[in-house]
Amino acid sequence: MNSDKKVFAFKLAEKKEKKEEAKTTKWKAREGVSVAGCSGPDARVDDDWWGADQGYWC
Amino acid sequence: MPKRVLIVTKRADLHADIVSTKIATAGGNPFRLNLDEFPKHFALTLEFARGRWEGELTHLPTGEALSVSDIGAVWMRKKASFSFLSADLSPQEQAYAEGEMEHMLFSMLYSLDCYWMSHPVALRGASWKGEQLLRAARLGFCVPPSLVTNRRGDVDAFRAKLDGDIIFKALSSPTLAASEVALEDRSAGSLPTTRITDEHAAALDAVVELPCFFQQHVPKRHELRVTVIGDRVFAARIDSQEDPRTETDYRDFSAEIRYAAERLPPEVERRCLELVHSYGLNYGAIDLIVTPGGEYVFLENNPGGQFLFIEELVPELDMTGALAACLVQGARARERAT
Repeated sequence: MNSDKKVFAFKLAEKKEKKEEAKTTKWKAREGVSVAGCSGPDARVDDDWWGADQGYWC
Repeated sequence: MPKRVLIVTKRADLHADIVSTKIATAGGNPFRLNLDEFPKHFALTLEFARGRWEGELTHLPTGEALSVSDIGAVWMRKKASFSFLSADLSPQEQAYAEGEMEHMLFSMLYSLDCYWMSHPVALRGASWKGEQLLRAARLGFCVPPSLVTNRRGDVDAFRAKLDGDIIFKALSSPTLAASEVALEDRSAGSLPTTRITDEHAAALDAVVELPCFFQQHVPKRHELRVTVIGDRVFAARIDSQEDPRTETDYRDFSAEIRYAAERLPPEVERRCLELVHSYGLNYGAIDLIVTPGGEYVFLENNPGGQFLFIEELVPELDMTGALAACLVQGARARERAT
């Protein structure tokens, strides 16, 4: 893999993103969970106080 | 004065919207503190006198006020960045203001004598996934062989020992700390739990940068999301193996896999309750695997985990109602005690 990323997790994410980009259909939440409190990356924060789950997707 | 329920969260929180309504329906009186509007849209005055803190938190746009002595229960729902009147604070002013706000907020919270869902000390103590594995194993759960290392050779040896079937999981942030940096500085998206195969062989050299968490890949019959609310347990069966998108990490909500209510064996239910309560938590969202052989394998406990996606797909698991009832009962118990 030819990448400027240094951290393993970022290399994996880059690989995943390339696979996603190659797909012809766009990611879409299934019916019924689209508003399940998943507020998108900008609204997510690291939870030093609250715990580990950060609303990742849900 | 009836005790009230303080919900600490942020504006965009559907969980809190729904639970607030249910708290009111159950006869409680919620007060919502959105941290992303705090202190911008709130006034806070606290005075220490006669050996205790007294004062009020007021939501300025509505004028709704909460006396700290009226707080009978707190739901620590979600964190958010504070918001200030001036959007153009200098970086040092901003850093100082954030530090002061955190200090003020937690000084107030730690001074409360009330029911907690859950106390910040308990939340912090329960957050460490490595420690969770040890505790779960002591309670009798199966726990997959796991490895933390920044030595490439040790990853290879671990893979060889387990016939190559391992996963990588980001422990601190599945969004890879995206929220910690400015939008223009973001260089990666989120990363679900990832099965490590030969295609990742070259990338594995990068573990030298920082220790990474690997775990044996566990074959799944299905998965369970077990949500503990107070003394109640809500288990949802997730048929994650029905779709390749959810085989390794079920949290891909594009896949229309089946969710259903599940009755846990009593011993597994007891372990889940004991695990959550052992931290002093009144809430926990536990991820388990059920193997083809019927073993219950512990993955992790999320002390602030989401639950609405489960309830939306399995409406009979009325967790929003249970949570509201728990908070109202907690506040009332405090009322009777004072």
